[in-house]
Order: sequence, then C-alpha cells, then structure tokens
Amino acid sequence: MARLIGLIEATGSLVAVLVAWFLATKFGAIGAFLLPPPGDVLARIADDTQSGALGASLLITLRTAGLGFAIAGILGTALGIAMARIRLVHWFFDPLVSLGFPMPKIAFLPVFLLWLGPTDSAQITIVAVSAVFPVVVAAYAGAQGVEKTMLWSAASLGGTRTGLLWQIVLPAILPQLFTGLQIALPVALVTTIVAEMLTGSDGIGGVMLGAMRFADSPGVFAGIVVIAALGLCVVRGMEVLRGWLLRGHAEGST
Amino acid sequence: MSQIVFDRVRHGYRVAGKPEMLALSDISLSVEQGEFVSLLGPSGCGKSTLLYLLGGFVPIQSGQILMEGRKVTGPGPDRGVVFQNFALFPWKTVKQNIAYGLERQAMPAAQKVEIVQSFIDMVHLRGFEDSFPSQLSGGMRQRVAIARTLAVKPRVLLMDEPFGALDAQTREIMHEELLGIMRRTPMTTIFVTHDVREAVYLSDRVAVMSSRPGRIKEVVTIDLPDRTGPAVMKSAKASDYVEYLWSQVKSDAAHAVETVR
Amino acid sequence: MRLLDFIVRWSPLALLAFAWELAPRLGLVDPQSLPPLSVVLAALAKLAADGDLLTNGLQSLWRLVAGLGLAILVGVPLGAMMASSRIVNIIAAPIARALYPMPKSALIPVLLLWLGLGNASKIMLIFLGCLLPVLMSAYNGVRGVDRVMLWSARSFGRSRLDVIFGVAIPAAMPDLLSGIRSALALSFVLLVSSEFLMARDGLGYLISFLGDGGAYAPMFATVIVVASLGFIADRLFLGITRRMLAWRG
Repeated sequence: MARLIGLIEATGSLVAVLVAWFLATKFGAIGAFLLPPPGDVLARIADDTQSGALGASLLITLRTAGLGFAIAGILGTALGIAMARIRLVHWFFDPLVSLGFPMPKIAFLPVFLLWLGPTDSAQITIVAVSAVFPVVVAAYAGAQGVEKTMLWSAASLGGTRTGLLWQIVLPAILPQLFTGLQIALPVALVTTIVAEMLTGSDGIGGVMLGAMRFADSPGVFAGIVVIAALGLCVVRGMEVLRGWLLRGHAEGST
Repeated sequence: MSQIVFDRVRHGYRVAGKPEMLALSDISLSVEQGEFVSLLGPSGCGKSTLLYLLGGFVPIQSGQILMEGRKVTGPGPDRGVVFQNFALFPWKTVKQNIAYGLERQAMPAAQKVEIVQSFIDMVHLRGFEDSFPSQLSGGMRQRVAIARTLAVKPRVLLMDEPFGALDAQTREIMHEELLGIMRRTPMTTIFVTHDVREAVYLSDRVAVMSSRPGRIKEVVTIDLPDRTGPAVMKSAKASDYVEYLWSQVKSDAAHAVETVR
Repeated sequence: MRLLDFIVRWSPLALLAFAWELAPRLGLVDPQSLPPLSVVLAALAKLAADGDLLTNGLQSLWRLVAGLGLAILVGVPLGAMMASSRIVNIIAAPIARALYPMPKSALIPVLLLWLGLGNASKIMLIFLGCLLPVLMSAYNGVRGVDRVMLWSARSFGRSRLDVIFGVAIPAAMPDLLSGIRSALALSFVLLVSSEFLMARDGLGYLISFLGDGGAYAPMFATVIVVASLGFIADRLFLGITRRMLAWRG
C-alpha cells in the first residue's frame, strides 16, 4: 500500500499534466494547430516507428551525438591527464580551456560549416568541441588529486609510466571523470539537435524543423516527446552505468 | 505548577525494513522555574531527541510536554535553543545574528540597537560586532549563539551539548561565562551533555538517562555550595557526585556501544 | 612578479594569434576560409563603427537577461519551496525530474510555431532552458542546509515562509550561485542557437546572415564577439559571486 502511494506521489502531477493536455485539446480550448491532441502525437510516433522513419532519424542523431561525445570523452580525458602530469601541456592548454569553457561553442558552428560544408563531420566536430571542455576539466581535476603517495608506492613496486596510467590514475580519477562525462553528454545532445536543425540533416532535429516548416504540429510534438524520452534514457543510463562502474569507490555512486 | 512537564513521552522511529526502534520510552520529568537541569547520558540515549521534542522541532508521537501549562506543538520564542554547532547565520555579522530574533518585534530601532549592544557586552564580544562567524573562534561563535538566543528573553533555555565542539580550555571558559550569565539573569535551563563533570559543575539536578530505549534512570540533586569557581570541583562532595554519576553512565555507555555494533 | 606570471600564463594565446595571422597569409590555410586575424579585427572595427554590433548586441543581451532573470525569479523560490514543503514537492518534482534531461533545444520548432521570430520565442526558450538547472540547484542547496539552522530560525517565532526566504535561500547561496553560473553558460548557448534558427536580428542572426552572404571576415569577427561575451559574462558573474560570498572567509 505504501508503495502504491509512493508511486502516485512520484508520478501524480505528471499524469495530471497529461490529462490537462488531453482535456484542453478535446474541448477546443487551444487550436489543434498550436497544440495537437496527445492522441494524434502518439499516433504519429506509432506510425513513424512502424514505417521505420523514426528509427532511421534516431539512428542518425545518436550517431552524431555518440561520435561527438566519444571523441570528446577520449580526447578530453587524455588532455586532462596530460595537463595534470606534463607542465608544458598544462601551460599551453590552460588558457585555452579557461577561455573556452564559458564560451558558447555553438557560435562556432557556422565556422565549421564554412570549413566542412553541411556535412556530418561539421556536426560531429561542433558536438565534440562543445562536449570536450567539461571532460578536460574533470579529468584534470581528478588527475591532479591523485595522491602522489599512491603513485610513488606503485612506482616503487615496479610500475612503468604507462602501467601506472592505466592501473592507478584512470581508476582513481574515475568518479570525477564520470561526473564530467555526465555533464558532457547532455551538452552533446543539445548541440547535436541544434546542429541538425541548422544543417537540415535527417536526424530528429532536422526532421522536427522540417515538420514545423510544413505546419505539421503533430510531427513537431512527436519530435519533442521522442527527444524527451531519449534524454531521459540517456541520463538514466549514465546513472546506472555510474553505479556499476564505481561500485568499489567510496564516494562513487553519488 | 512546574514550568516544564514531560508526561509519559514516548518516541520511536522506523528504518526501512526493520521493526520500529524506540528512542524514548515513558519519559516523565518536571522542571521548576529557575532550575538548571542536565540530561546526562551516553550517545544515542535520546537526550537530544527529548530536547528537540521540548523545542517543538520534532512532532510528539505519544505523551505530552507541557510548557507553563500549555501543550508544546511547535517551536517558539518562549523556548530558546542553543545547538552544538552554533547554527549561526554565516552571511550575517555578529550584530545581525544577535538582532535576528528582534527583527519582527514592534519596538523602535534605537531600542533594538541598544539591546543588541548590551548582549554583545554581556558575552564579552565588544569590538566584534561587524565580524562574520567565519572570522571567529569556536568559543566566540557559541557566545554569539547564546547572546542571540537570550536577546529575545525566552522563558527557558535549551542547550544541546553546546560546548561539545570546543576544545577543553575553551569549554572551561564557557562554563564560567554561562554561570555568570545565569547569575545575572537566572533562567530555567535544560542542558544536554555526555560529560559528567560538566553536568555536576553546572546543574541543580542531573537526570541520568539510559539508552535503547531512552529512559530516565535516576534524577540526582546536586547540592554544591556557591559555585564561585572550578575549585569547587575539587571538593570531596563534588568528586563523590562525579564518581557516582560516572558509574551510572558507564554501564550504559558500554551497552550503547554493543547495540550499535 | 604578477605581471610576468600573467604574461606567461596567457602567452599561448599570443602564439595562436600569431599563427592565425601568419597561416592564411603564408597560404598554409585557405585565406577565404580563414581570413588573417588582422583582417578579422578590421572587420570587427567596421561592424562596431557601423553600429551593427551595438544594435544586435543589445537585442541579444536583452533576451538573455530577460530569459535568465525570469528563470531565476521563478526557479529559486520554487526550488526552495520544493525542498521545504512536501506538498510543493509532490506537485513539482515529478514534472521537473521528467523534463530535466530533455535537451531544451528541441523546443525551438514549437516555440517558433507559437511565438514566431520576435523576442518572445527566444526569451521563452532561454527561460525554459535555464529554469530547471536553477530550480534543481536551489532545491539541492536548500536541502543541504543544516536543519539545526532552520530550527533556530523557527524557534525565534518566524513563519515557514520567512525561514525559507530569510534563512534557507541565503544559506544555500554557494550552491545556488554555482547553479546559476552553469545556467548562465547554457543561456548563451540557447540564445545563439535560437538566433541562428528563429530570428530577424541579434548577434546569432548576424553571424548566419554574414555567413550566408559570404562575408566571412565580419562573420569571424562576430563569432569572436559572441564567444567573448560569454567569457566576460562568466568572469563578471564570478566577481559577483566572490562579493556575495565574502562572508565565507
């Protein structure tokens, strides 16, 4: 019984909003053009799923976001650790990172479009550029914090430089690094969608903007629902992954 | 009529999946006007919980607590509280902290300033009016907390291990400060502590509490001559009190450690 | 020597500036795609002199301030009350949790549909995009306030509302300001994105307008301006934060 009440509490207001949406459109309080009935939106999602259109555009979006995020993750981690351990690297990149971090990197999208054309590469590049900063900062902070004594013990036990890197440094910075990745992922998604809209790609962002141009409001709202669901899954997925990856760490699964 | 009456107060809490834990069982105690009563016991015996119930911060589940004849239902300025970690507002200066309780009161601003200054003087913090808590030592912060509470002239003073976060020397200084304040403005005080010597030195009566569930084992009246200084603690009488209370607390302290494991 | 430290710290930027100037001039990169820095700076001066930067810049800044300001005005009290009142929490938390992970740029088409190309659509996008981060940081900040501090305030006879606004929110300031700092960065991203896609003016619109017209040097210049504004805003905000949290010592 308590569990049922808990469930109602946790979802009640959300259900209420959906019901309000349904009622508002049912009684024509808001024009169907502005706010299509939830039924229409769900029907559109079902249609697109069946026809495979949804899957196709979702795949494109995921590919762009995923590749951009992966590049940002790998490069960012490498750079952050290098900055923490090699003074020259720190000297060169620190002003770039400090300067770039608070900048709206999306402003550079037209530049990449100029250089690379309205291609996937341009989109993946801007996603990677946007997402790399939180990763670098997190990896740097984490690597800096790795206790020197831990490194010295490992080194004296015969660890090589690269061995130390993989066996000591990376596991030690994992909590902080993962937090940086958790920040970078939504950034990657937001950037991907904007980039898709600007380049007219066939990913979900592009499809949504196209729907808007054809005054296809169910299409627009279907896109919102799909993206909201995507965002939810991705964030949840990261949380679950964090719990599993960091199960040994003390402050791990925050 | 006693000023404070605890009447068969019972308090439990539930941790998910486990049966209800009884923190306090059948607490009954009366406190007279002007008395200094200590709640003495090992960690986990519920003495702080009892104080929070009297303060009105935690809803009473069973039994009742009467404050000057009226049931306690929530916090109020009649029961001033001083906490172990001072609970000062760190973004406010010393002056602003002490003035907090007076803010909503209808009296001319000049009068409020006067009252605040008098309390700053009372706790010997003249010169630090515009300092922030982060700039003060532990002892000074606690003095600000005490001044802040007393500035609204509460009917009773509740203190939850107020000197527990201070080092030994500061604690002794604070004992003298507190006794000085009590002499100038006598106030009913309920004082929670696990330190036997502190209880004996400061109190008129000591309520010894046992743990799990919390129960008042015994109330000991401390009859020491005028406490004009720590020297009184060297007297044979004081030592006897300390030894006796220590033996009472010790058996429960061991028990408390066992049950935590 | 502080001046020397400053120079050493930021000198990589000077190196990059040199590279930017020389590479196109030496033909290492196509000067059409990357005009030399001096050419870009000259274009910047011209844009400033012509007033284009100012008019569009003010438009953009107004939208940002309005959107972010509204997000703070609504998000802080709401988040604080979510943390303090079970009822508010039950009503607001499920919606907030469900919508938080959604990339708010997905709202651009629908806002374009509803509010068109004017200020309203962009202010709304920034408001909606920044609302949840601000709200969540207020929520977490207030939740983290020591309950004993709140109890103290209550024991002085203050009402629940008084305690939330007079004690809980000030006590949560460090977390709150950190959350607003993130929201500030996000607001720039949403501003630029929305001005790329649904605007007739503003700095983002200016960038895409110049780019479409092949005027690449002014386009680069405007990009630099926008990026710098983001950086400057962040620095200013840090300064404000330092002053507001001076009591931390």
